[in-house]
Amino acid sequence: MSQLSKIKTQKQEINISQIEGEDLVLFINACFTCTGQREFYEDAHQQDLSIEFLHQYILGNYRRLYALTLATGINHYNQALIIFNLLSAGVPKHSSHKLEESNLIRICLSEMPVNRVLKLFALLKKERVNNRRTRAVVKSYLNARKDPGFDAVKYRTKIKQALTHVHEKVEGERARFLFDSTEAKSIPFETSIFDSFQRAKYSKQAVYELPFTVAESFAERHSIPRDVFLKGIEGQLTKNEKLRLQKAAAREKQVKIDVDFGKLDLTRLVLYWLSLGYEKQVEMKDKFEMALETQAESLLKGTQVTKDKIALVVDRSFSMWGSKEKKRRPLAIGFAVHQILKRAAKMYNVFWSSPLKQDLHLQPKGQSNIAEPFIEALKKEPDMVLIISDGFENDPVGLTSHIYQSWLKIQKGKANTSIVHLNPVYDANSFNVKGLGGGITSVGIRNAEDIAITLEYCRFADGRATIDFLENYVYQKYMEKLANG
Amino acid sequence: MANNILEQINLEQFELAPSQMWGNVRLVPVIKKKPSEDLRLGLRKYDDDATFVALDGKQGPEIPNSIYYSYIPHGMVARWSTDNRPVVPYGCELNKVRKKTNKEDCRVRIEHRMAKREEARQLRFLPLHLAMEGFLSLCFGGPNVAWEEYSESLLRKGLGVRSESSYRGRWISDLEDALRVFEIHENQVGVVIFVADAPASIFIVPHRTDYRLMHASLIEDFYGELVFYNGQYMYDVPALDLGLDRVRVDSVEDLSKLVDAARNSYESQQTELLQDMVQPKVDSKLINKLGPFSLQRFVTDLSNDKDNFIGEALVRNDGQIEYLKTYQLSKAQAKRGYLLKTLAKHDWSLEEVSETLECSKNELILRLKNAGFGYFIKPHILEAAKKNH
Repeated sequence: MSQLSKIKTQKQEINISQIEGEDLVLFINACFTCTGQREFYEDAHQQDLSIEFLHQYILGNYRRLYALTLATGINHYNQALIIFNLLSAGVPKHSSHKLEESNLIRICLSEMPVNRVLKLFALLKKERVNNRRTRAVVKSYLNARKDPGFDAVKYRTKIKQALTHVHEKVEGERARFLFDSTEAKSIPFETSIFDSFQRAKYSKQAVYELPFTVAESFAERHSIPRDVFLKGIEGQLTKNEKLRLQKAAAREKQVKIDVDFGKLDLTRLVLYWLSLGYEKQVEMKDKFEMALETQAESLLKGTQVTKDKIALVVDRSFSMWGSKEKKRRPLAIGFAVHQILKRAAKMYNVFWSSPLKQDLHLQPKGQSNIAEPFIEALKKEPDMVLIISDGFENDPVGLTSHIYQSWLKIQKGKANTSIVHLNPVYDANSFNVKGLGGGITSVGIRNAEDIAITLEYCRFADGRATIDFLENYVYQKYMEKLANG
Repeated sequence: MANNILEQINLEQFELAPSQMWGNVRLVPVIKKKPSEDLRLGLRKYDDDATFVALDGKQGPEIPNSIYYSYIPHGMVARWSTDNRPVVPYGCELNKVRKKTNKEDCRVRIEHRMAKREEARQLRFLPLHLAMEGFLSLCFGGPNVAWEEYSESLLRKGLGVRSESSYRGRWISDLEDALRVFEIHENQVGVVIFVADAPASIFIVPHRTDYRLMHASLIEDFYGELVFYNGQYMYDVPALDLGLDRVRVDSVEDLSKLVDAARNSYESQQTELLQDMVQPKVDSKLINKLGPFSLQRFVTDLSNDKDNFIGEALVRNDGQIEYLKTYQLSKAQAKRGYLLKTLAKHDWSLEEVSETLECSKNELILRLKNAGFGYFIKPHILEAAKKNH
C-alpha cells in the first residue's frame, strides 16, 4: 500500500488521520463493488487476490473500523468475507469492542441471504475455524431461524455440515431426517415437509410440496416433463427463481410464469429487461415503466435528489457489457439510475457516451467517450453532475480530467456544481474503483437501489475526510442498524 | 485506368481516432464517415487443418504445376455492383447447415487459385495468403540464362520449393486481450495494429458492418517474426500527449475546443508512428478486376535500410482504398526477396550482381547460401567458395 510507505517516509508533513481516512474510503469503495468475479478487463483470480489482500490490510491496521464497515451497506460477498476474517482473527483486544463486533455480526448475518450465510459456514469448516465465538455465532444463527425444518430440506448438506462443525445437538425428527440413515425408512414423519420429502421419492404429487431446487431433482427422478413440472411448481418459486426461469419456461412450450415486477429489486429488474430481445421489450414496456415509477417513488422520495437539478453522464461503451459472470451489470446500473432519476429529479438531463435513439432499448456499444457528454452536462449548469462509467476512458485517455481542471479554472472557485463519478467495477490493480483522474471524486456503487446511500457517502470519498470523521459516520450507521434490528 | 494502381499506402481518406492501448499493443481505429455500399466483404470460415491451393490448375484430377500450402482459417468473399447500388454481402442468405465433421479427423481442403471468381459479381480470395503467395513466387521460374554456376535442378525446375514461416496472432502477447477489450467505434472500418509502437498490420474493409464481423478474425491471421519479438518486450505503450497546453479556454462553451485539440493531437502523433508504412513506394500487381474495383497485391522495394511489408488491396477506380491488409516482413525475409530481385534484374549473372552489391563473387555465393539458397549453386562451386573465404 502506497499510503503505508508514505506514513513512514514523511511522518512530519502529512496528516496521518487523513491518510487513514483515504485507506478506509478505498476499502469501502472496494466493498461496494468487488464480488471476486470476472470483470470485463480482469479475471476472477486477479480480483480475488486483490480483495483478499485489502481485507487483511484493513483488518490488521484498523480492526474496529473493519468491523464497523459491515454497517455501511456493502455487498454480501464482502460482508461474508469480513465476518469470516473477524471470526478467524479471534476476539478483539478491547472488551468494549467485543459486544459491538458481535452485534454487527449478528445483524449482518440476519440480513444476508441464507445461502450466502451457509456458504460462509461451510468456508469456516473448510478452513477449520472453530473457536468458541465461531461456534456461538453459528449456533445462535441456526437457532434463530424461523423454520428449521424447511432449511433442513432445502439446504440439507450445508446445515448438516454446520451443525456437526459446531457440535450442536439436534433432537427429534429433524435429527432423524438429517443424520439417521439406518433407521427404518418406512417410519413416517410427522413434520409435514419431512413427510413430503419422504413421499416425494415415490409420489409425483408430493414433489410439488417441496422447494423448487429440491423438487427439481425429484422431477428428474420421476421423469416429469419440464413444462408440466414448471406449471406445477410455480407456487413454490421464490421471486428471484421466477425471474430466472422466465425464459426457460417460455422456451418450454409457452409455459408462462408470472413475475410481479413491482416486488423485484431495481437492479435485477433492469438486468432482466436488458436481457430481453427488442420485440419482447416492446411487449412488456408498460409493465416495466409502471414498475420503474414505483421504484423511483420509493427509493428517492424525500431525498435531496428530488430538489436538485441533475445532469447524468452514462458510459454505454462496449466495456460496460461486464463479463460472463456479471452480464450487462455495469450498464444495468447506469440505465437503472437514469430511469429513476428521470422520474424523481426536479430537473434532469442525460448524456450518453454514444447517442441513443430509443430511451428504453439500449446495448453496450461504441468507444468510451466521456469527455464530450461531460461538457454537454456542464453546459446545463446543474447542481450535480453524476458520471457512471467503469473508468476506462479511451477517446482519448485522460481527457475528462483535463476538462474538469479547465472547468474549475473557469469557475474560479465559485462552482456550484458538485461532480461525482460512480463506478460499478472494482479495479484489482489500484485496490479501488478506477477513477477518471484530475480530482474527480470516484465512488463505488453496488446496486442502483443504493443510489441514496452512495450519494450520502460521496461526502467523504473525495479523500479529504479524516479517519475520526469517518469513524463517526460508520459508528452512526451502526447505531441506526442497532436501533432498527 | 493507370491511376488506380497503388503506388503508396495513402490513409488520408480516413480518419484515425484516438488509439486504445492494452499492454504493449496499440490499436488505432480507422474511421470512414460514409461506408461503401457497392462493395462488400464477407468471411467464409474454413475449419480444415490445412489447405492446398492449386495455383494454376483447373478443377479436376490433374496434379497442378504449383501448389500453395498453408493453414488458412478463412477465405474472404467480395461482392460488388457496377452501378453504385448497395449489394447484399456474402453470408446473409439462408444456407443449408453443413454436417458437422468429427473433430478428430484431419481434414484437408483443396482450393483452386488464390482469387477465384465464383459468380458474375462475386470473388473469393484468401486474405494475406494472396500477398504471401506473391512474395513466395518472386522469380519463381529461376534463371533465364544457364550460367555455369547454377545447379541442374535450378535450371530445370526453377526455385522448386519456397517456404516462409510466420507467427499466429495468438502467439503475440497481449494481442488477444487487446482485441477482446477493444471498443469498436460507430463508423469504424479498419484498424492499425501497433506492437511495442512498431506497426504490425493495417486492416481496412469497405463497410463498418463488415468490420464488426471481421474484428475477431484478426486473431486468426498470421503476423511477421518481428511483430512476435516486439510482443515479447515488457513494455506498456504510453498514452500520447494530449497537447492541451496551448488551448485557451475562457468559458464553458470553449471546453469543446479541448476535445478537438486532443483528438487532433492524437491523430497527428499516430500518423507519425505510421510513417514507415505510408512513406515507402510499393510495387503493385493487378490480380483481378471487379467492375470498378481492382484487386492487387504489393510489396515494398525490399531494401535493407527500411521496414518492408507486403499486402493486398482493393482499390476503386478513383484511387480510393476499399480494402487493405498488410504483413510486416522480417529482415531475413526481406533479404531473401532482395537477393532474388537483384539476381533477376541482372539476368542472374553472379558477376554483375556482385558488382552491384559491392562484394566478391565468393561472398555473394556465401550470402546466397546463408539466405537459404545454397541449392542454387553447384555443390563443388559452393565448397570452393567456402574454402576460399
